[in-house]
Amino acid sequence: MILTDKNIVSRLKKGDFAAYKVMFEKYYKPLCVYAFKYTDSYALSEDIVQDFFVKFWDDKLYLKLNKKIGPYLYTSVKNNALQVLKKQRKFHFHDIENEVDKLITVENFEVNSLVSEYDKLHKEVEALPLKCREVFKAIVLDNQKYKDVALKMGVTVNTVKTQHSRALKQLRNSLG
Amino acid sequence: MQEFPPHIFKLVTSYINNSISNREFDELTKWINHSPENRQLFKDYLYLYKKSRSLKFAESLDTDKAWSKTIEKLQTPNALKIEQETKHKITKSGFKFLQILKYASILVVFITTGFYVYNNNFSSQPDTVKELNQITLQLENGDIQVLTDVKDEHLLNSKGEIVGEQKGNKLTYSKIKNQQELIYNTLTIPYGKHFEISLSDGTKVYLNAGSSLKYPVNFINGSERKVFLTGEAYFDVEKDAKHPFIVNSGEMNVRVLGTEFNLSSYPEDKNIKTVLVEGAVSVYNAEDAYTSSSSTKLSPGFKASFNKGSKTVSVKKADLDMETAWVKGRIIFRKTLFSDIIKKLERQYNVSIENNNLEIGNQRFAASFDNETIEEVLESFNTNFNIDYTIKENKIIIH
Repeated sequence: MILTDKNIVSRLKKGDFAAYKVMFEKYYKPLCVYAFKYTDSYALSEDIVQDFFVKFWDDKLYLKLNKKIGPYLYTSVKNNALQVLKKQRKFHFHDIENEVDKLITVENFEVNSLVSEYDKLHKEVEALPLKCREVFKAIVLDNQKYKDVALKMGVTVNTVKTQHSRALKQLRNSLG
Repeated sequence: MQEFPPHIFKLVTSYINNSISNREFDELTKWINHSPENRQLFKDYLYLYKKSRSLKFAESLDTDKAWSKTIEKLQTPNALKIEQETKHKITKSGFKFLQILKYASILVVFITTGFYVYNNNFSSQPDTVKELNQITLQLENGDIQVLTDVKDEHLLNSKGEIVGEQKGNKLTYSKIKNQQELIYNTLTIPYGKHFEISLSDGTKVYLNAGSSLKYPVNFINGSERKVFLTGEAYFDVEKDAKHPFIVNSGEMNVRVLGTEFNLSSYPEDKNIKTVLVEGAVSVYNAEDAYTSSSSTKLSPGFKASFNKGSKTVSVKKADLDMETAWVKGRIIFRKTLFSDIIKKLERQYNVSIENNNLEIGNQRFAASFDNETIEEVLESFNTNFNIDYTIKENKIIIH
């Protein structure tokens, strides 16, 4: 079922559970990615978004909805994510992080374009030399420690670092 | 392109892993502030890191799984959750069904919402939901039988023994002697249909559309007769002073000795309504034990409305014709809120009605219908009250 946001809101106000599901399907992914910018944690981001949706329904927050649904959802999730961030992060470069977050825009993005961006990244990563690629995947995508990666690959930590920065240099040029 | 000095790179990684120390953070801050190039390099790195991780994260997300997890956390019971599980149970195995049989009321809500979703043309709903749009009988072992109204046959229990018979729109249970154990069946009526059931003690129950009744195949000698209702039913209870008849409708119980009354307890309604036609009944909070002081006694011709939220009862004179019209296949509205009229029409005709005219939602109307089709009903609202509507597939939109 495809509904416009306006329809979703008017049906939600009648307690329409089907509309709630439509909203969930439409916004779940973008909201998770949005929360992820602040949390840098897969599990935490999903928890924040799911908990928000639970509260949204249980506390009938939709009844108070009087502005556009998209901005409302992003703001709510952002606030919740920032609260979590505050607790978890002692050290934070607020300004730089904010600038970076603005570059990674996920608001109103299409899931399709996200997938195609990921494909692009995937292609670029696959184009890296073998060692470089493995290091990049381990360090950035899987968030492993240098020491562990070095141990696994049977190379020194310095080699891992070199490969890592080589990968970054190449990707930075191609992904902009 | 510039690169991080090795010791700075270590700090950057620690920062990202959130394992940076006070001293290290100061050192990194100093380095970043040292030159615009340093700052840019750090920013670029952070961007690449965040972007590639978030892309990977986006790809790993599974909305369906997240949806199941989310609705499990909901406090407010809802339909889709039940609908999904029912679907699962019916298509996959009877075994799992047995487990939820214990919670018949849950099951009930389930199935009714299943229709609800179907009515809304929920595109992701497969055919199983359509199959649910039939009268079903769930046996004690969780097996589900579909009762077609032309069927004329014996009703068997899970062991294959005859416990009753079905004739058209009526199910009759026969009395079994020396029954020691309570075995429950659950009869579920979808929107748009009615059904009559005669229990083993002779009590007759007329079930209205979108309702479900759980009852023992046989009542046990020496203990009270208890059944469970969701939705609306008209009870004609067989007199048996030794065995009080109790109808549980979620939050409220009705206790009777022998009488005729109508009980309406749809999940979406705020009040559970009991209308007494003759005899005597008492209504009371299902959490309390029955005593004459904990209950409210109703006289014939009166209606008790039990508020599910406050658990309080209010008694008013009832319009018996209107309240029980459905038993004879009629619908009567008198000073009825348009929003309530819509709910009733949806159940009776198995249609989905969307009211876009919020103004009339709070207005009251009077009307009565016998065998009219939904189109005729809408046409009469249009002629008499100037209410505009359009029908699209299974959906009616009021303008």
